[in-house]
Amino acid sequence: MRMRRWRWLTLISLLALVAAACSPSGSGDTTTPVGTTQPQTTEPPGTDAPGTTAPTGEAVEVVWVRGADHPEGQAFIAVLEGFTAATGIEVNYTGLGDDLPTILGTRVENDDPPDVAVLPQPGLLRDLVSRDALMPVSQAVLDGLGANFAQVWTDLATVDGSTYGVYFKAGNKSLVFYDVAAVESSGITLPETWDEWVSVSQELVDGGFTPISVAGADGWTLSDWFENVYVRTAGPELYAQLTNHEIPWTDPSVKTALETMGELIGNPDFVNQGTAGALQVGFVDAIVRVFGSNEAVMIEGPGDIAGIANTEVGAVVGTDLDMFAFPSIDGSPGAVLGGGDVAVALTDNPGAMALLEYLTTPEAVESWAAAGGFTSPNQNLDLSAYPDELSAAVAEGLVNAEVFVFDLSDLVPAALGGTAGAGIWGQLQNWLENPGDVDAILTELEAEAAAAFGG
Amino acid sequence: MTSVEATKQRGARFGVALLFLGPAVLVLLALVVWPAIRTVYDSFYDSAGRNFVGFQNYVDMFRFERMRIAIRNSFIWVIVFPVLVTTTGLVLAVLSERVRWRTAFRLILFMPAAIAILSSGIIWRIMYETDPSRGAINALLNVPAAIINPPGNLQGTAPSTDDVILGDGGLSTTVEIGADGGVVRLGLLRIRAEDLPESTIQAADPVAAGAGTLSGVVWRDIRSGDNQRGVVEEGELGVPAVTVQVVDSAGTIVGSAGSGDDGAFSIDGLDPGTYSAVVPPAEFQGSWGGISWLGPTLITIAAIVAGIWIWGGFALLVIASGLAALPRELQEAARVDGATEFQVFRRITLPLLTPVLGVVFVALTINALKMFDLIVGIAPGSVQDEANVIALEMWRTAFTGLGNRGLGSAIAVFLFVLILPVMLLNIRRFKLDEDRR
Repeated sequence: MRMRRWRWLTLISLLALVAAACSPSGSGDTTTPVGTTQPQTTEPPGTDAPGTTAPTGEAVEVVWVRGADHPEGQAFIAVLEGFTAATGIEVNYTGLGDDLPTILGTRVENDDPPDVAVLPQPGLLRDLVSRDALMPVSQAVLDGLGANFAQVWTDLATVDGSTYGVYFKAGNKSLVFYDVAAVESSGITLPETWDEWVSVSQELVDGGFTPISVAGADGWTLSDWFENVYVRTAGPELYAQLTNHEIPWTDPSVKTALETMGELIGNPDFVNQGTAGALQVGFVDAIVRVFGSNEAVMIEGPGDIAGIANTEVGAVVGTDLDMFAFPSIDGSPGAVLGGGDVAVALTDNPGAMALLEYLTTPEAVESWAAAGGFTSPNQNLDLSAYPDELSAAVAEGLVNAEVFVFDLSDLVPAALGGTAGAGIWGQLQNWLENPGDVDAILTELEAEAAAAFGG
Repeated sequence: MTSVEATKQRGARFGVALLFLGPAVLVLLALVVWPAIRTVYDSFYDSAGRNFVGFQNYVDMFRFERMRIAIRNSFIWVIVFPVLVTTTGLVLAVLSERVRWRTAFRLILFMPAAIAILSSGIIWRIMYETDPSRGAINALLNVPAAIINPPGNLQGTAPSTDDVILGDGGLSTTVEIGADGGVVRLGLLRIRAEDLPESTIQAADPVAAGAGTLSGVVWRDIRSGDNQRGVVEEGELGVPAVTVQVVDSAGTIVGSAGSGDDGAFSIDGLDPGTYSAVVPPAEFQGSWGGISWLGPTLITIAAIVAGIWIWGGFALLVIASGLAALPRELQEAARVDGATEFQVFRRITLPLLTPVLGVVFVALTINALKMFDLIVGIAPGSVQDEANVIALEMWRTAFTGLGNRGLGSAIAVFLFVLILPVMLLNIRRFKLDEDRR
């Protein structure tokens, strides 16, 4: 009897030991397939234009983030079906989820890339170019880009003089969504300038409201705030220089922007839960606190907010929720901060380039625009293609912006602009916790930027 | 059976054994041994796995503040977590021996171990929310806080004019009572019209009502559009049911009244002179804000507490089964000799339990070193740096963004080296146990 009990005990602890022994060594390598021993030869990028050759009928493999059962994945598949109908080229689609960068990196390394990838971050495009993994686009694609898109989209997909992709999906991140009922009952007028925004916020506070919900737990929402302010106070030229680290983060223009930003979301009275408390509020939570529990009146962010507010708490565009453009600061021209998804070709399969060419046409994305939750940077896509006035207004703001800048944190190395709790995100979170401490935060941020750009 | 016979038999059955063991060995080679070797190999290469960089990754690793915090936190985990969980398990095991429904009791305590650790992390993250109206723990702490300092009706409000002061003594302003009485206007901001009682109506501007009488109003001094502070305007609402006191220069309360639906109040029987009109501080008492469990300072402690909840049941079960296996004769003998219960526990039970406690302790130490999913679940993005541990930093380095595979592998190897001595200790203990038999 006694022996048997001890044996059980040994078994339990053995199991614990095996579990412990397996994970530390095994988990470091989960995405590397067993036996990756092929030499890592990468084909040189094609110099001739593959898109001009006639389609051979070979199926094109396409990868993106959303799964085939996700509404966005289905909308994209509808676009691909339109391509097959127009060209007769078959397409196989796979949604890779948030692991797309890792999986793509591994497949490129193993010389088994998909034909076309839609990249959610432009930083990935540069990285893949540096690994010689992308095909420059054909003349036909360049023509399509020139005919339908503002120059900035071609520039964004261009590295060292060669263009590698088509930005066919974009996001407008210069929007402020508000709770219609709260704005009506408080009697404020919607702000058009920064100073009005500050005074309207004070008015809301006096009336017993909390003006702004900030999703401080998600650092990217703070970098969106910062970028929106910076492009307005410093202008697009300095914005570009800061993006490329040609000026340091200790530059006076950065300090000015942070201090300006502090007038609004550095004021604990203006921010739901206070500035430090907002650090524990996630993005979806922050939206729910505006349109669900009515703790705050406004939230700055991307166009997705309308959809999320609808899914989470049933907020209806127009009656419960509306938006205004991020106000101008000291007479700055209307500026839009945006992001986008870029389609790139990784093989010389002629169908790949044909698909890129198709994606430059306004017809390609009409069905997606109609499905909602989608904004196209294509200037020739009729605004009537969008399902409601709000999404048409979001798209109009994007294609008609006097100044358009791409999300800075997406353009800098991921260590600086894409890691939770670190780099720009982490330092802006530190700032939100202690908005007075601008100089120390910028010194630290500059050190991280120098490391990210240097290494 | 003698050992010679056993060796013979083993030799004869070697082929059969190989046949049966083969698949398992292959799987082990493919899924444990090969990835381990490959990880070590990768740790000497750059982020894309192309160029050999020697020991650079191992040097770089310690240059980052994030990694240093991760090492510090892992150290805290290893020191604190196994001790606390083993102690909790021991106490619960010994106490639950005496409970009649011990199986049910132990089953309930073991249940958290059946929940995915990531889910447990998320459960605790919700329980730890700062706002007492959202987080269960702060809500519990809020109960005594609300009894000691009940939040007032006017919490969060502010006076609308400079001559009205809000301080520790409540809201106060100076009033003059003259020959035909006096007038006072107490304007309030930061109060929503919707939050006022249904019966609230347009505020009434006070007029002097004759000798000895103070006429006043408490009202929400804000309206949309053109809005003057300190002036009772059309569209501004009274604030009802506010107690206003009149205090003379000696600090004595000489009169008091409550405001009506239009915010108006009047206090009689005052001699001419200078007084203060005061709204007592209790009306402005704020509600308790809650402890920021998930803030940068408390996050590791908060996570360890959640860890005790998760692993305490496991420790309890293993220790309890060890307790059940102990020979009762020694304890009985000690009791017969007149030892107290504590002495029996201290001198007999505990020493006999030491091997079991050791097993639990080592398993928990290994768990503490490779702590990962709990932190991912419990720590908001903004405090991931402060909550960081080595295994989490490995994952963040290797698998977020495009990932730095070389550096991530180096951190994995570093973690493995840390775990190795604990594992060896455990294996040695097994051998000793077997020899003893």
